[in-house]
Amino acid sequence: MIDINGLAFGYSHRKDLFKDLNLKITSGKIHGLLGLNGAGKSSLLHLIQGLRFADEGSIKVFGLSPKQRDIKHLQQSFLLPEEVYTPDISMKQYIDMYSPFYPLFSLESFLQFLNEFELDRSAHLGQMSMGQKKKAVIAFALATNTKILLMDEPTNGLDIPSKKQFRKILSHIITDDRTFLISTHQIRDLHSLIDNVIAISNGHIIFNQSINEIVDSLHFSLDGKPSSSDDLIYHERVPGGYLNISPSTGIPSFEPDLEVLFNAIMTNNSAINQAF
Amino acid sequence: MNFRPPAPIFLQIAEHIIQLIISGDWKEGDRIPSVRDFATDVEVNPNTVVRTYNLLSQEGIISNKRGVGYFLNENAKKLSTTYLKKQFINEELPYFIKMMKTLELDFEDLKKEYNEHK
Amino acid sequence: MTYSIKRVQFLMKNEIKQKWRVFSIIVAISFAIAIFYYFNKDFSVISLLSPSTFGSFSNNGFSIFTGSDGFKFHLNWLPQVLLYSSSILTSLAFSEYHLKESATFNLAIPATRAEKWSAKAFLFIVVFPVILILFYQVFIWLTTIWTTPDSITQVKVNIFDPYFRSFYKDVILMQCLMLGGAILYKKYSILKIVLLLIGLYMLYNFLTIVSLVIINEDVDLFGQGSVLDLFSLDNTINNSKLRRSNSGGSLMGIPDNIFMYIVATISILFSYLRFKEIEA
Repeated sequence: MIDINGLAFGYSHRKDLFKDLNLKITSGKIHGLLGLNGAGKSSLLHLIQGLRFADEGSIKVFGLSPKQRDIKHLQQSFLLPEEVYTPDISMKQYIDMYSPFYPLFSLESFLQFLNEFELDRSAHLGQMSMGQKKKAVIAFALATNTKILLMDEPTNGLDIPSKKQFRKILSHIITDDRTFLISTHQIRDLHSLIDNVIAISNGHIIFNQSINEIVDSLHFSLDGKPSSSDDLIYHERVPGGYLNISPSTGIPSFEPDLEVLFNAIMTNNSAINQAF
Repeated sequence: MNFRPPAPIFLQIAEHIIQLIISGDWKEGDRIPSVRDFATDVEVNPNTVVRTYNLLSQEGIISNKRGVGYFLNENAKKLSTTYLKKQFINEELPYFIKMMKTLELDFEDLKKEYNEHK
Repeated sequence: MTYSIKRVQFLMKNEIKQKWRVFSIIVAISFAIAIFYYFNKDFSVISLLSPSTFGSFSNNGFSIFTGSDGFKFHLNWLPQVLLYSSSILTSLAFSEYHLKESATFNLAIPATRAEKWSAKAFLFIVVFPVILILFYQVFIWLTTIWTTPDSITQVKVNIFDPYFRSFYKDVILMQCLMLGGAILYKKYSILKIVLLLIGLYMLYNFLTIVSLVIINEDVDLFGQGSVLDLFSLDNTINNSKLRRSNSGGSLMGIPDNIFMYIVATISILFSYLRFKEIEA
């Protein structure tokens, strides 16, 4: 669905943000995009949406180049930025003005999502708090029913009940022909939803595995001390002792802590990838 | 010394379902929630629930009637107990035994505690 | 290539819904300033301070409206005010594409680049100026209704009067130029585009003089019209200023106003090409 080959991209202040980045994203999954601050997560989402243009290499979305901002692409792809922008209008006007552009938009779903986020449908966007605005735009984004949903830190600024509703809605609407790509630092908000982990660092994709593969290939254990085993990939101090990651040995594995996994990827990437 | 962090989500869900079957909340022959409904209910990715349902199908506890949904098999309760027993013996017990060793508890101590809790 | 009139209509409707306030404020302020100014100043000053844009629409023939109570009113400045205020508005045509958040939002709206651009162009070159001109007509009607005129000198009370044709042409040219400036400059686009135009204008006048001198051997540089006249901004370039030195006859040269047509065409093309490449 999304196919990136040899992508190079940079800004004037940061010339080589991406160099030869390759990434294939298949449909039917919720992909979690992880990376340090400034690793280029948002830029990657912008490039996929066609808001920024690649310096080199190719990006194909539905076989189209995002740079063209083809109508067939934009009708089927929604980018939810971290800081949402809304014109200073009422929610009703927002729907009247922008929903006609999305052929699969469902008003019924939108109203249902608003309800779940406890937002009043008659409210004015200009008078909402940032978090409420974000919820309104999330409700709109989800109701557009686009095949691709790119979300940049969607849970930032959401209150606790809304995070829960967000997870509920997302788990309900993901289907085999849709792709959600979520960039996040708040991995614990979303870890039960993400079924593919993508990590980006130094201009490359350094990790791209499904949760099933992670569960089957890595062994997470909690111990009183760092494991003395030779094949220990990574260990981290946690309140209960040390969380150790080693290649799976077939014995029952534990729920991978994605935050710890991310730290492991950043510190010992080659050993992690060898385990797969 | 080892502690036990939570199992992978798909196994947590399997255990949750099995508890429901053993307690009789879910009855043999009943239709169980669809993958999507269950996923929404517990806020997980539907693919995770698919993996759980596949596991339970392999164990013979549930089966998929094409186009209708998943149902509990006739002997689901018995198989569930077997599954949970296996799970307990393979995973819980080793920790338990290790803990007994660490605390230097013997069977007599346990017997006393067991009788108190009965 | 897909092009949907329906989507263009939606885009224009959305733009109006978002910009009608700014639009009204700009027009209201221009009117207020103009009315205040023209009621308080001597008309001889006006003729100096209200140069026609490119010379083609000149205020030859004062259109003075004199009311029964000594109320005097100069009506032909009104189209000028309309022209300036719509220019200010058009210079802000692409403002939402110059801020990161709103650019992200607007670029992602599912419409083709041609649809988005043409909605802008039609709105700012045609729709808004037409609204302003209708506004002018209404204003004149109201004025003639409310004040009993003692005398009206050359007042054009009908917007279909041939007198306005060159004005409409000026409006369209100006909007085209502003549209290019609006996408080129992020801040103070109206000032920058005016400065750019002055620069281009001077350059063009200079080149015109040079070419006229080359084409025609007997140019009277310091005769009836002077070279310096060509650099005054209220004059379009044309070949009637300079005359032949021996006969005083007209020179072979360039048709009137061709400069503005060329620049406006480049500007409008530029605005589309630049819009296609805009990033958030």
